[in-house]
Amino acid sequence: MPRWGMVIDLDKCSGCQACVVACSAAGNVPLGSPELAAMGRLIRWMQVLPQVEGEYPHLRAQMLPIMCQQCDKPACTYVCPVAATYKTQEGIVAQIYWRCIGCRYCVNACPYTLKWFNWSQPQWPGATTEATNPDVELRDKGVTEKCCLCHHRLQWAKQRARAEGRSMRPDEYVPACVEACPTRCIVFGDLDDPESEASRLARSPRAFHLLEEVGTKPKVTYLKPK
Amino acid sequence: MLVAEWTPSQGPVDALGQATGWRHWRSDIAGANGLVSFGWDWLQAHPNPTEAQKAFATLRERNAPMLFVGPRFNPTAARANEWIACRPGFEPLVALALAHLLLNEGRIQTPAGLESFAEALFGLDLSDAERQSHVPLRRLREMAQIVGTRQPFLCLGGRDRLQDQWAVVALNALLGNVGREPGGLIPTPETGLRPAVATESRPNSIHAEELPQIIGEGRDVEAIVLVDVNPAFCSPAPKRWHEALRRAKHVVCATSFMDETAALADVIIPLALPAERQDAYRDSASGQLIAVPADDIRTSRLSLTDSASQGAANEVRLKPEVSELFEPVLPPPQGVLSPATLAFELARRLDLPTDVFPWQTPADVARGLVVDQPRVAGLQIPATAADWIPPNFSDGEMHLLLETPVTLPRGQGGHLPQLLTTVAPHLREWWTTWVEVNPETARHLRLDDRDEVIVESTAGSIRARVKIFPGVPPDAVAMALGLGHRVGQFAQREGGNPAELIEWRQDEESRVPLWNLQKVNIRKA
Repeated sequence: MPRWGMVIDLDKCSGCQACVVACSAAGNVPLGSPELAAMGRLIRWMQVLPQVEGEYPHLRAQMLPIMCQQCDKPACTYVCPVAATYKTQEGIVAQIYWRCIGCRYCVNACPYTLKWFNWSQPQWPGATTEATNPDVELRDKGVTEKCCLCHHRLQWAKQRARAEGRSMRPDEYVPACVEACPTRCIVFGDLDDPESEASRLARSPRAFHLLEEVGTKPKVTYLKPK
Repeated sequence: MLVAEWTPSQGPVDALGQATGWRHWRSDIAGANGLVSFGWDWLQAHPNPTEAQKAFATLRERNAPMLFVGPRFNPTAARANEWIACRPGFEPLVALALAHLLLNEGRIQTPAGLESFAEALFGLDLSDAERQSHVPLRRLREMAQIVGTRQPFLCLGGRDRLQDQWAVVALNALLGNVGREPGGLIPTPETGLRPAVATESRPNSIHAEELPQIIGEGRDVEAIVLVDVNPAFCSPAPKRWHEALRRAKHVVCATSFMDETAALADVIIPLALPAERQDAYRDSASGQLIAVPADDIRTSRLSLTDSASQGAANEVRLKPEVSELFEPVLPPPQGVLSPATLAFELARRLDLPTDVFPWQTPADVARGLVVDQPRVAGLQIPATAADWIPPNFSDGEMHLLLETPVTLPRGQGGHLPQLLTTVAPHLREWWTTWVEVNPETARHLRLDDRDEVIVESTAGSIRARVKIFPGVPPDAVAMALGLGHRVGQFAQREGGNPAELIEWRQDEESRVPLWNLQKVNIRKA
């Protein structure tokens, strides 16, 4: 059974945010509005966080693409009272939206603040509903949502392989952010396969995890800039 | 027939054209062993953003140093190995000072044919350059050491004044980058409709942006056909275009989105987006496949449906006699029709006289593929390229530095909320038009984050929200082009269009619009 994860090379990230746009489109992420943005309630499963330090003209910056860290010990699943958020056998921290009762325990438990609550009914005006991804459920007000590592793409890949009477190849499952990244700074694959590129990069001396001290054991590994 | 040019996304087209005779060329960023950009935010403004990001990754993999010279800490500066802050508008002087040091320190030899330029360059007073550009001589020497030890070290710059362009072209010539492959400036084949460049062979070439002026001078215009451009929004002083389009008898606009120009058109033709036209994105230079749109990403469908069913229906004012002309060329449901083909076909059917304007004609286009002949051997860098004169800024207290966000290419792209919320990765600023203000300046003007201010220039005034950011110099503010639409389901939001602050000025020599010489004042609303 594969253990899916990704490695993000911060040295190669240009901060273009193609991953953010691809994620929003593929995951039917609510469009948001200026009003929600002003209240800090804009939902973006994937973001590029800037870290700018210094004063003019001596500044340094780092772009940090950040999404659900796909923890091996996810805090969000431990606190969910209705098992709406859970970990699949392949290690993906997923969410069943219709089970969610909107208690927001998971939102508070996530040390990375990467679970999102719909404080208002997401609006899909005009023809925008026609542009949504039919493989991903639209969420309602009062429901928590998150990056599920484009789980629907995994399902498609499995179904395609099954229909063709073969096993799924690891390269058939690629999340939208990974596919869209023009610099190839996001590498995805089976972390338990020592031959996979993701597994190899995760063993790099430059590798680190966000908030390692909290013990959630994320499956998203970052590579420090050279 | 004119091809609109978005000059903020272009390199030193005019100077290189005069130096080499090339009409079309590309910078082989990925092939270089180092890169220095003089004020051009290439990671965002490059005409092919995907190619630019890929080239960035390639340079990183090879540990090739990237330098950025400019007044603002933009995304390119943020991702560069070194950011060399300089006074706004003085980047070309830094390029010339660097060229001087490289020659003077013996790091490079003067190539044949550039002796007179090199001689003139030695007349440059380095301490004066240091004083004017605000770049310490020590930093210039460090730059020279980095640039002089790796070849090819590519130099990039924007399409500003001709003498600004010459500084970058001359430095490239000294470094042997002109015609060098890989890693240099390389001529490319000319295909289809391409911008007409003012060269020796085309002395009367004009820039598309001059059209409102020509119309204003009383020239009778039967019809204007605009394909995939929005000059009524993203041109300097865009109101010029509003007046010009009103004066034309017929205005036809082929567009993917309901935008400001389409709102002024008599006929709007929904235009397919690249993904819909080709089912794939291709590299502009090599034609190689970059990405095939995934089944579950349908942003293009959204925008087309929007323009057809939402906004456009209210704005289209069909004139029967005009619509008859266009019916036969409307794209079939599954058909393929490129903007250039559409423009050419419409012009032909309108029976537009082709000798009205002395630039690229349909006959040029009909010739099809024309390959430029490289003329590197005859590379001509005039000695006057070393006589750089500081720019003449407009009146105002603060420089206006313009950002060209990668998600709003050519000042467009505000049709999708996902794009509007990814405009400024280094600021995390969303939706509304903002103005970046240095913390020191903000203290002086008693401004806080999100305060509403009025930004005024000699061309106009707009409203914007303050974003305090240490990456702009105290004597400047920065704004992003592409925000402040007046039409559009999502694009029409709070705040003004920074292009309205730009006075219509052209460089006397190259006739390109001058975007970067504007000064502004700001005050609390």
